[in-house]
Amino acid sequence: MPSNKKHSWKHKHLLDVDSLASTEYKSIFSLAEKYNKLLNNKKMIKKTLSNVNIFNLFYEPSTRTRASFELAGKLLGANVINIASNISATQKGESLINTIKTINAMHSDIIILRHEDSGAAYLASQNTDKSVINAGDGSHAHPTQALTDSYTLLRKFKSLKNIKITMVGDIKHSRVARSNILLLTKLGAKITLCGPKVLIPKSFSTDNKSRSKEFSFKNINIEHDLDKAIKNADVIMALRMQTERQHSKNIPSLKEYAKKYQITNRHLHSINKNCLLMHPGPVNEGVEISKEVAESSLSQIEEQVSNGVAVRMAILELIYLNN
Amino acid sequence: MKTLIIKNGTVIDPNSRLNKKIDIEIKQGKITNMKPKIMLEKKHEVINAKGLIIVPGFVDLHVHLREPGFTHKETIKTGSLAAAKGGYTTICAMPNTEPAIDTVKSLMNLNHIIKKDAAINVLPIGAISKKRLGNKLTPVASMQKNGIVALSDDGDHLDDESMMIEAMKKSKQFSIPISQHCEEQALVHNGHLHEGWVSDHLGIKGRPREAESNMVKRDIAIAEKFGGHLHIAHISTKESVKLVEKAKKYNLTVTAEVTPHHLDLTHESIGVSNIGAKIQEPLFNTNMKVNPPLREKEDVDACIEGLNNDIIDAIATDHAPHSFSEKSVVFEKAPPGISGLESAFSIGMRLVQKKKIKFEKLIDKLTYGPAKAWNLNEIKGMEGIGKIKIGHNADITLINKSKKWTYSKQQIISMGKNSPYIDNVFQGKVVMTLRRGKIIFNHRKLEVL
Ligand SMILES: [Zn+2]
Repeated sequence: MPSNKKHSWKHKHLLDVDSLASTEYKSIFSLAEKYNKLLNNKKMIKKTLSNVNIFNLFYEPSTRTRASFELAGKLLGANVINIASNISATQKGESLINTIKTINAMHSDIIILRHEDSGAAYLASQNTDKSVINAGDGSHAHPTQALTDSYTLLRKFKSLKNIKITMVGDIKHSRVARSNILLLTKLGAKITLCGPKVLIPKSFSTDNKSRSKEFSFKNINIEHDLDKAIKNADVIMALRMQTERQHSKNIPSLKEYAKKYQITNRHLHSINKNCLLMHPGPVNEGVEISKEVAESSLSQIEEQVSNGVAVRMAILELIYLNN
Repeated sequence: MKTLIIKNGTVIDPNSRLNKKIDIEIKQGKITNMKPKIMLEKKHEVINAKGLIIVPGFVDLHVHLREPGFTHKETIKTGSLAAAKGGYTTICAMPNTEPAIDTVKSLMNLNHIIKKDAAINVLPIGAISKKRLGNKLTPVASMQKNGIVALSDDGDHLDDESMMIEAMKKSKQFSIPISQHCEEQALVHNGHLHEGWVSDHLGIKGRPREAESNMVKRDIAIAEKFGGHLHIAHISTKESVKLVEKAKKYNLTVTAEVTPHHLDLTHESIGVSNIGAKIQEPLFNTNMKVNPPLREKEDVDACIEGLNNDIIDAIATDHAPHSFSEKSVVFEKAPPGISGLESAFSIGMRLVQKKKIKFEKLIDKLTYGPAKAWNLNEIKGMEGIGKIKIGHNADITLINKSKKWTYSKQQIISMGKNSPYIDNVFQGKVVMTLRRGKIIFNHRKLEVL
């Protein structure tokens, strides 16, 4: 991966990947690579964020994303304050805006927000002069996960142009899928979406004419048959079944879902030998993928987790040093 | 009261098809003379309307004034003043207040507030069902005697078919329109914007177009079978426009209104910071959240065509003011509604400037169109609503067609600043509104001859 010394970053916030320029995500990737090497070799890391106060404001339970941000901040020397939903004032009915205003007044520098409603990070960013990083908003976006996934793939493929990526599962309720689709198509990948009809938005397909031209997706098709969808894939991304967001009656049960869409040992024989398997976690074992597959040599799940720390270090540094 | 002369203006009156330079004489609040040149006398007070268009005071069939019950959003006083600024002299108030207007008692209370506070004619609409719960009809006869001009459970659709049949029978019996908010509740449950690519993109559940058209279809079928006057409130899909067209062909008493925002904006606007600007990132603007939701371009075009072909009878604002803090939440938690009284005419002018609708048509749909849709002129004392006619009340609006102005938040009179049009530059402005010959809104001190 090329590492250019001068990193480009012009956003105050990281709310989604839509608005990122290619120079910006390339900066993230190259800086992440630097930190990845330092971490892997147990080298000293310069405390570029010493005296920086980072607030982790999580309205939804999360272990890995929160820990990943916390570690990333601490490795760069920042003070990281965790506010979990169970202790945050939201429980007492304080509005999101008021909580943001309170944190804004607490000498904060960066606010990392995870929220159950789509658009929450946008609302937060409009009500603070501090930088906001979206750590997942409703079903809308999860930019740091998408950047981690693309970074993980770029370490394997050098370029994602024409790389065939099949996403399997609950696309409809998945913020990971949304951000990944936007970023991966920008990077030139070809995407196939696979899953039950009710869980795949029709308008995501390139054939769909309801989008106006300037917003239309390139290189996305929908295939409901799992075997067909993964047959020639270079990468399979299994998505978590978002049972907490699935309210419609016609959504299949986890059991029914697993029967048709679980990636199991059986599939390992029919797919590309070098096909990579990803999952943003946490895995519902025996639902999206079987235990054997999760532990197979194709699985990138642990790598995604460790890369996530380096990517978040890069994001925190770029945002702080350029604002 | 001095005799008032409005001089040198061009009068457009859709009812009489008048479009001509004419002077107007007003005595005791009534129009007493109209002719090309009224000679001025010393006792006259004069408004020089040179370069201005003189039209009937606008009529709005769909306004939420929030009082009683929600006076932190709007009051009869602030809402009617906002209306006057928008060029309106007659507005119809939706009954989804607290308490709802579902009894003679609550209606009398409302009438009392109107009498005390309203700057213009405020005509009450009664609820179709008790507490707007959709399961028991309100006393139509006695409410009509006390001034209601229509029935509506607006905000919600009356899903229960047998109730709708009963309501339409009452409509027929008492010659009173039923203004229906057509969106099947089961289908729009938990939906927050039009179901389409934007809702997919934002990860928010949508409100499908069928939720509207299915119910327009059902309600027209009921009107066909049982009679009565069905009025489709805020029509928004191309399918619904088609259905109303068909109903009119069959000579059913079906009328329809459309809002200014459904004639101008699409669901794509929800992802745009400034209307017309290219999308950068979705901004979840809660001021674009409204029910029925902003639809697609084809729907906007169908609604405009519907106006031009008189399938749609009226432009109605669905003025729905909310407080700033109520709208300052995530999109899914924000209440739906747009504050619309002060921008309606100027949004209409945009369509005129884009040559999508003729100026005379716009004026018709803001004045005589709505009055005729609900037969308001057949109600005693309301014969002159939506008209400029000798012998009737001088409810008159003066327009400057070319005046450019910025719709700034500070200038909004309504308590609801929840508009997607804040800071838009418009061309065409209401400069003066008269009610019963009295100036109730004056954009600037006009020259007195
Ligand atoms: Zn309504």
